[in-house]
Amino acid sequence: MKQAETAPARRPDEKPGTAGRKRGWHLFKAENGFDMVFFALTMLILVIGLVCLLSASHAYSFYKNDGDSYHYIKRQLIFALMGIAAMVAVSFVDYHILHRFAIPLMVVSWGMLVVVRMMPPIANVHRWIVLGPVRFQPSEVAKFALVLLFAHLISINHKRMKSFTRGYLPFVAVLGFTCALVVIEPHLSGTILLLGIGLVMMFVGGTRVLYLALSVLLGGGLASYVIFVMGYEIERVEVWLDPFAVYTSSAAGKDLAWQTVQSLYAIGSGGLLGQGLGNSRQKHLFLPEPQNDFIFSIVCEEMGFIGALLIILLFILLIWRGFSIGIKAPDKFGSMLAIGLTAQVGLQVLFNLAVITNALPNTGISLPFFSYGGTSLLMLLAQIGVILSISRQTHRRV
Amino acid sequence: MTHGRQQDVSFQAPARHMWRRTLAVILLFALGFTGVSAQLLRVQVFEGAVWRRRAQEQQLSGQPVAAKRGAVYDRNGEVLARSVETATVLMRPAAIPDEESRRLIACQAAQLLGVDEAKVYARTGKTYSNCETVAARVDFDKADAFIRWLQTCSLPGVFRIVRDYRREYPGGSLLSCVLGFAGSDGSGLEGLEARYESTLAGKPGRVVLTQNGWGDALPQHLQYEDTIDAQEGNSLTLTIDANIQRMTEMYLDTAVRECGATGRGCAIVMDAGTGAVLAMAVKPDYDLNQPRELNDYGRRLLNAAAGGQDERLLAALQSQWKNKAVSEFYEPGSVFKSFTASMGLELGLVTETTPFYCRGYYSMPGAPLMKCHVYPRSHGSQTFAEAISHSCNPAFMTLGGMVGGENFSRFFEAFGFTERTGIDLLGEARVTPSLYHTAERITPLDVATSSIGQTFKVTPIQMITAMCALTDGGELLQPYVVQRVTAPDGSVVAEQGRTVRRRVVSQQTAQRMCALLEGVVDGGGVKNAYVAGYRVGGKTGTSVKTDSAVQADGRKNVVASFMGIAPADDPQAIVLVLIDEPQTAIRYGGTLAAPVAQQIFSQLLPYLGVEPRYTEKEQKQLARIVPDITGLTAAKAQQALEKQGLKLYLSGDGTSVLRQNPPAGEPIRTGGRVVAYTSAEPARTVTVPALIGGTLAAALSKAADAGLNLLIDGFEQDAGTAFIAAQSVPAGETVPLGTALTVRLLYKDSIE
Repeated sequence: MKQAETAPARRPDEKPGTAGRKRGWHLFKAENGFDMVFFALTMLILVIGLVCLLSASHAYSFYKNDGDSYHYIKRQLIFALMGIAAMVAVSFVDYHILHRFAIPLMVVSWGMLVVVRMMPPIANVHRWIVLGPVRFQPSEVAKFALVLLFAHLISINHKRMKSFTRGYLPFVAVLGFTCALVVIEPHLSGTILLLGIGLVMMFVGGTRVLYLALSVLLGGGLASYVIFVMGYEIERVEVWLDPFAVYTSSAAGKDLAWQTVQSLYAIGSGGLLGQGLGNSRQKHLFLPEPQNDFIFSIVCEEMGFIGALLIILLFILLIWRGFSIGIKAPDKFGSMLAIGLTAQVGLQVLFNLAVITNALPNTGISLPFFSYGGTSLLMLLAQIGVILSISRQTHRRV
Repeated sequence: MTHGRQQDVSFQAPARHMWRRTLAVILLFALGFTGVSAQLLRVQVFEGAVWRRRAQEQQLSGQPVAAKRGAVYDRNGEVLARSVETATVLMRPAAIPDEESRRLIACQAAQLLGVDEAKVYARTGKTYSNCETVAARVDFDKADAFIRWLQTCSLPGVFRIVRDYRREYPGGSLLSCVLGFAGSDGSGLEGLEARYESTLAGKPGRVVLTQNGWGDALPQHLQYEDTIDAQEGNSLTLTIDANIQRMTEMYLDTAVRECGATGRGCAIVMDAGTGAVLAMAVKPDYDLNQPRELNDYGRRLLNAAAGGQDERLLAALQSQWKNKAVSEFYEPGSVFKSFTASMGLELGLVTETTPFYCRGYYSMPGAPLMKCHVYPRSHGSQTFAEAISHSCNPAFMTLGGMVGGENFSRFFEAFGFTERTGIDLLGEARVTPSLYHTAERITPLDVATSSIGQTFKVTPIQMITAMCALTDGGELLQPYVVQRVTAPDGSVVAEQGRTVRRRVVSQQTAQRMCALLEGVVDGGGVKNAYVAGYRVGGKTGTSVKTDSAVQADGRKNVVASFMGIAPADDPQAIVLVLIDEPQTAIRYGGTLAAPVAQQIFSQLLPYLGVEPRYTEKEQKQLARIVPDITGLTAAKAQQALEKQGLKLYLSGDGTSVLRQNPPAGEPIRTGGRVVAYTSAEPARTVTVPALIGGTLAAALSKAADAGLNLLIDGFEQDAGTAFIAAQSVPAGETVPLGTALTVRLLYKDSIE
């Protein structure tokens, strides 16, 4: 494997004679330390997310787990602690080592995607691999593998990214194959996320905009054809257009639109200032699985629009900081890795918020740092660790 | 920063395009987040209230709190309908722990709440249910006893007590046709209860509880209870006077029973000056507290009807609940002649002395002979006033011909016979042109038959309202039953009074007509409506129900009616009595309906404070009040009695009177004998003779022979033709010597 990068000689904005003095954001940075802002934002969001999970899940947990209100939060806490440890640990690892894992991890994740198709379905879908007490989604692994592989490919091909055969075809092939494996689980939201991440990385990586635009048009056209002409998932679109009408139309419609409508009930009940932390009513067996994809509806109900907006603002800061680390990364690989991982978090947050507010049709996308899911959180924090590792090198000095 | 990056060639990556494209991605993300934030703002803030309201529908379990229904009072404040607070005991079968508890609950509920044990036991088995009734609307003390028992046993979360109300009608069947009743849910189903539902109902309150998606209560810290108080309904004060209502119902009921009227009977008493209804009765009636029990009338309909049991029962009940006085049509017959007569007076076609000739029939070309009711005899030559008091058919047909179809229709409409009266009662029948002859199609023959009240139909309320136009000086009024609507705090919400609809005839015509009607009772045939001391005017009517089935004796059914006014010179009250399908041999309005009106008037007029003015003849025959003669010597007692026109019967050998019979203050017929005991001896007794069916003279001599006194109900105007219709103590009973028997007189020779 070709190592294209060398360490940068010096920070471009470094002025002679100011080495010892740190101003602005530099105040939070230790020498060779990671980006404290990014770390702090992560921890802040994680803590808020855990508090919200406790609030959102305790009632549901009480009813579903024989009176144990803390079933979900206990598990999530353990994974969060493990995740923080992993995050810090990973941040100490030089991310360049990941070059070596780029192709093998992709292959492994493909293998897992094939294996998961053969596992017994859970709730009619083949999304989880169960290993004893641990349960994880190969599509989560595939996301990271995709980011890693794309970062790797872009970093070694960055001069030839304008080429169709080098800068477009391999990416589309990998993306297409991975998506194909995920979509047959079936896992529509995972597929959309993979496509989004792939698209962002190819775009930033330098693929011709023309190719991308044509691909998006083609893909959009194909998707429209599948939905509107073949009628696949058309109910979701109907629910999306007028959830309450479907909800009140029939018993079947009620089931179909239940989650979306209950989410809107929760959000609307929050109003501007919210019912107060812990005071959600929708979490009491109205909103199904309030600890999962729709956790933010409960957050909206309890914290109100103001509270929700503050949390969204924290996410925006995190994403901005992630991209900023990517831009400041010492090399193409680190750059693409940070941008890809940040885009993954950002897209997931964005899609989740869009779904719970019914700005987009309902697909199961969890909210990073908030939604219940131990392995998922562990992986997310490890990925944040990778970004932190990259951030260590943005201000590495000679 | 951008500047610095551009210069940095050794910094091999990220290239310039990459930086720009990252910025583009950041911008796209910013756009996306702005979009979802805007959507969040829309859902949460702008549409928030809508979603919140919808969410609350599922989050809150509203327990309605019943509102107390307004009461109904008569004009003197007597309660006719009221709501009393009761308790409904509910349980949650899902919370009952075991079989033993089920049995215990059923047993205790049966003992303490008086409900069916087996039924309650069955309900305790519905473990899927969160709410089952143990006992609905029981008295509070019963519920209290049950609660006390609950405190001694450990059944947490099983029971809940809800306050509600039960509708009570203290008068039972009193005024049932007007009041109607409320259903078990408290909403009015019939009569005023239904007509004034929104006024009486009030607004139910709510106790709001939070619940989870399974319908269970939320944990304590999230639970909140909010109570919206129920608002008590407004009360109604009626124009009805319960005392007048009672006398009306009593006399009507007796009459309807005696003649076995199969089509029910009804009576209306109206304030002659305002159109306010003082009493309205339909007999047989039904108990408002048990409205679903059939009365005689309902049972007869049930047996006669065809179809399924439930339909028949429902139809029968609805018929028995129907207020005959406003919802059923009948042919008014001769009573209507009052209106034909006033048309003639108003148009100046006749005066009281205009001559009419009766040949016993009236003929029109191309029509069969129309007979007078005295046919083959005739009334011969008579004045108009006499024709009215004779109720002469040919005379009125002649008058009808003089009035003409156009005028007849105009007055017919002006009197209100072509429209509803608009009385504030439920179920006033809708008047359709098929019921009468419209101005466009009325023929001379129609005018002739209509002039004597035949070939068209009206409702009793239309008739009495039209009569009210004559008694109040010629203006047609709006009849009404509700005088006042009062809020729970006592403030008056709405008030109703005399409302003029239009002028029908001039004041003179109206007054002359009232005087003419007095002649019918005073000098004419309707002696049965005569009340001593009062000037009663009125008109009888007997109309054949042409559309009814022929009876067993080959006759068609009739409607016997009488409408009277009193006092005729200054009318205070109008009484309309209608007896539908009487089954007696003699079934004239004068013999069946007029006596009812007479009885009502004889109590009503003193009650209304109308001073009696007796004629000389009446003075002589007036009942005497027995003076107190105890303690007096025999001579003094004799003196005291003679002053009253009474005689003394002395028993014993003492010097002064120790006891007397009848006691002091009791009225007896003039010439009666008061028994006085001067020594301590047991009261002598005698056996009551049979007086019914005999003449008054025979009754007087029999009573005198037995040593009893009489009191005449009705007046001895022309004792020769009167017979005794009723006696207060049945023949054969033993009573003390001197006791006063009340007998009712009836005249056989009444017209129609």
